[in-house]
Amino acid sequence: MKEHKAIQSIFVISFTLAIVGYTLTQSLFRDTETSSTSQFVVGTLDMDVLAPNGSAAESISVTNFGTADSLSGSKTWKITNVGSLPGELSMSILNLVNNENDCNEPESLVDTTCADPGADLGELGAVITASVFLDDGAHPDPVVVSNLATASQDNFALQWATNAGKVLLPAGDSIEVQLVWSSDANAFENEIQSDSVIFDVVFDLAQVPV
Amino acid sequence: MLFTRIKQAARLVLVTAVILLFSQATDADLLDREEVVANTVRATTLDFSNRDTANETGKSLFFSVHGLIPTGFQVESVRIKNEGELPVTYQLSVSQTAGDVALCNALQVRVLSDWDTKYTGGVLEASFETTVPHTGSSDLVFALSLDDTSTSLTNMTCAFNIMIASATVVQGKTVFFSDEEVLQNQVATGVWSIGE
Repeated sequence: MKEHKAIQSIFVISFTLAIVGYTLTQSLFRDTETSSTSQFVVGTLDMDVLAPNGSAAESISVTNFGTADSLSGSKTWKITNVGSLPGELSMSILNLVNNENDCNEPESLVDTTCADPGADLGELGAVITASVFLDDGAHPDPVVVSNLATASQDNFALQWATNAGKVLLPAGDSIEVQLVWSSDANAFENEIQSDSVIFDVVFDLAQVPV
Repeated sequence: MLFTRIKQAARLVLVTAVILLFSQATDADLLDREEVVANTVRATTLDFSNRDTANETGKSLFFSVHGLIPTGFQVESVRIKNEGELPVTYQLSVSQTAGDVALCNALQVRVLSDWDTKYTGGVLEASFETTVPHTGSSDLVFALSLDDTSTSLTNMTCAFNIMIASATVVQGKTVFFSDEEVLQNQVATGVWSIGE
């Protein structure tokens, strides 16, 4: 019973104080200004990946690896931040697959996986060294060196993070990323005949943390 | 009891909010991803086979001559068919595998490649090089003969292989793939006498 009375007293006192406080703190003069042009604008984060001459970006396409003039080559992509916000560029490789394809007679004599040709049984990627270069002069070149064996897929993102870190790309700026591939002629024989390696090159531009 | 649980939940929310605030884990709200897809590197192929010139079935046994006598000869043919994507420049050579050296040295051969004479002389010294385009074939015709009338060559045998191997350097450029095919041969002489 006493508790009820105490609670009622507290409620009454609080209500009274609220009424009194509201009355005492009311301002007698009042002015209101409206800023009608205020707006919130969300910045944009967007990049273009093109060839260095501005034409559409091309994928790497080598169909005659194994001839004298096909053991090395390169492809350069120009990354431009066309948004309004600065971004941090990173690169990775996804969907890296080594295909055995068919086995002809010379290959079948030396390739133990010919009996079960299929995805990820090809030997080509393991004999190709891929290097990634940045043209900004601020990072060690190459920033990535790895073969193209299927198990090496994650090397690209990891080495980029280790050696290039967060590559700042301010709005409007560009940077060229070059992927160079090469192979030692002594590193392979008939076991790579008709093998193929396929992969996607992925560029991510992330918003710079504020 | 209920009040205690509400207090615990409030503390948890407070701690989580502070962690998220300082970790900046939610800062990268915007992300753009561009992909250059289906980059492909494919190795080419170098492969050829020995085929019968009549029906293009596989062929590895070539001359099988019995009772060869002086002035006697036999003709065999083989089609070198390019099964790969690269043009093939091959070198032909011969090596004795068994039998009598004197008979092997006495055997003569004339080789025509696409009806052009490529070699005439002792069979063991036969050697020449030719190219097969990547979609084509090369027809070889061999005429094996014995000109030596020495009776010391009677009742002898000679076994030899004709090896057709892809060249490792073609027009100054190294070829990194290789292939080799072998044609096996057996020759046995008959019996004769001088003046017969």
